[in-house]
Amino acid sequence: MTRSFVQPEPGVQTLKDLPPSTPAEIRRMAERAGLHLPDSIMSELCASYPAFEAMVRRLPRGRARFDEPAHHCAEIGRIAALDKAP
Amino acid sequence: MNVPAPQRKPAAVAQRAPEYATVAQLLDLYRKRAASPVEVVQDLFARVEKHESSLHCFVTQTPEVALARAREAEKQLMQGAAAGVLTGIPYGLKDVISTAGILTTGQSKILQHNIPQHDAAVEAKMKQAGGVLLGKLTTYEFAHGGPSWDLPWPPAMNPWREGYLPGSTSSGPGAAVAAGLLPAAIGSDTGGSIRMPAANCGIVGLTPTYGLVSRRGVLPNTFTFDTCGPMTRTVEDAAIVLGAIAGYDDADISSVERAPADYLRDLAFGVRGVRIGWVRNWYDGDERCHPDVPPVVEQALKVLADAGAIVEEIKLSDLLVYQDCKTTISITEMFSAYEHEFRTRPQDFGLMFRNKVLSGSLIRAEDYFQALRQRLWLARELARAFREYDVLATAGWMTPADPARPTELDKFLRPPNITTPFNIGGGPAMNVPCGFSGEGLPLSLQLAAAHFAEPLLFRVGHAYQQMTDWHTRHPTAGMIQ
Repeated sequence: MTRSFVQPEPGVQTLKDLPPSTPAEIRRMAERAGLHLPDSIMSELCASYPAFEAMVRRLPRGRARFDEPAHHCAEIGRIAALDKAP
Repeated sequence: MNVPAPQRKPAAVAQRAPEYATVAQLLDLYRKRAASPVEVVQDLFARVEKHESSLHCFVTQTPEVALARAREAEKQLMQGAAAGVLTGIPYGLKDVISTAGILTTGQSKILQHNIPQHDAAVEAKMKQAGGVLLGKLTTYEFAHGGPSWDLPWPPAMNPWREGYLPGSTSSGPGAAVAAGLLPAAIGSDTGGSIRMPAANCGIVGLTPTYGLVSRRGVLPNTFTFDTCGPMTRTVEDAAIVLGAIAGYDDADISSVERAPADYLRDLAFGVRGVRIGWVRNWYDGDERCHPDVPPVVEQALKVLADAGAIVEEIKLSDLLVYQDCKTTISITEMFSAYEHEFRTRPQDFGLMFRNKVLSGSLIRAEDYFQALRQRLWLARELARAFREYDVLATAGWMTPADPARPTELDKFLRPPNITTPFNIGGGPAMNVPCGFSGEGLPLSLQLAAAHFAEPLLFRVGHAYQQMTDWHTRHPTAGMIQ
């Protein structure tokens, strides 16, 4: 018998049902991000972004407020302490 | 009574090291004064000269550095004063690892003329251990975008078959070690970049626990996941090299302060009683999985079970769940790391890198934050599995090596990697050759363990190599005869 370690996440949602951004919307987002790309590279971005957008929209959302992310707080504290050292 | 004078060991070396000598074999030959580091280096450069035009393993060869270090090693060995654990051992570095005074390009036009002032921590340790640097090895652009034919250097090729790729970003190290150009190399791994070329080239590749080996001076891919580790032909060699490069570094924010371990200590303990969780759902039944992979992996686990390991099938979240989380974090961090160049000279990146990273500019802070939350959720899933099992095992890669397709440059988002989940978890994972496809290309078994359990991983991998001979086979079809 196969033992599963996958746990269900109650209440978690995704954004995967949103309509994909259009090339015009992608151009606008890039410009608002301060990217001034040559036309050929902007076209590349318009072609590649939809796959990444779909990926991001599959991420689970709506987790509990206290569900803290992975981060490096402990290490940041350690380095900050080192910076103060004489 | 006449006592014969003791025979003096010859001052000069009488024989040459065999082709494909491992790190352990070379150390033994040096100890016995049966091989010379200088001659080993000369022989390897002759081999490089013969094969480099077809394999493209090197961005930069460093013969002067190598010969100087080899002469110093030889001097120490002859005086019985060799202190380093790698004295006289040739190696190469993936060209994202900074080397003082030696070109370090990241395989990118952006850093085409970059000569660092300082060594990366991992190079400093290899040097301190007595290693002999033969050169800087081919990668994908900034260890991410490739294989690319629009960069200043061509991609590395697989020695097992002409026209095939070595796989993923530590491609030069994988091809060079498999082809016998080097006994060891240092690669970097963010989502599988050590293990995939190890799988496709039939060698051993270890991704150490995050924070065990300093990344100071290594060009960033994704700070959250970046590691460096050994690529060798045997598990024993990987253990020797890890012993030289592991250790705390104040200047690397990810570095973990821990007492150094003896990675060779448990090698001979065997696998009796070791509990192995077999993660079959990641590859078996996946339409992208090559049909030769599942039976080869199953046979490898049978070898371990016959030797006394307890193998049980387990299920973890689908690879796509791991990959979505990892790639969201990766492209966001990578765009941030190279943002200045993306804003000022985007045309100087290769198309593959741009296609895979430029979208990172459009990831929202909220998305990145949710991916970090998801990362912890998935890391906990792995931690639960490691509470029940000493080692997790799965396929090293889902397919044998791919053919090179220079015109196919637009893989925006690759299918999920079977190596990525263990980067999410942050623990060690190692690929070990375990057979061949029907076409004669190497296949691999992936073993993973809990954080800092490298000694256990080496123990299982070494036991497997003692019972099989896959790691002793060498390529011919992709090499000049």
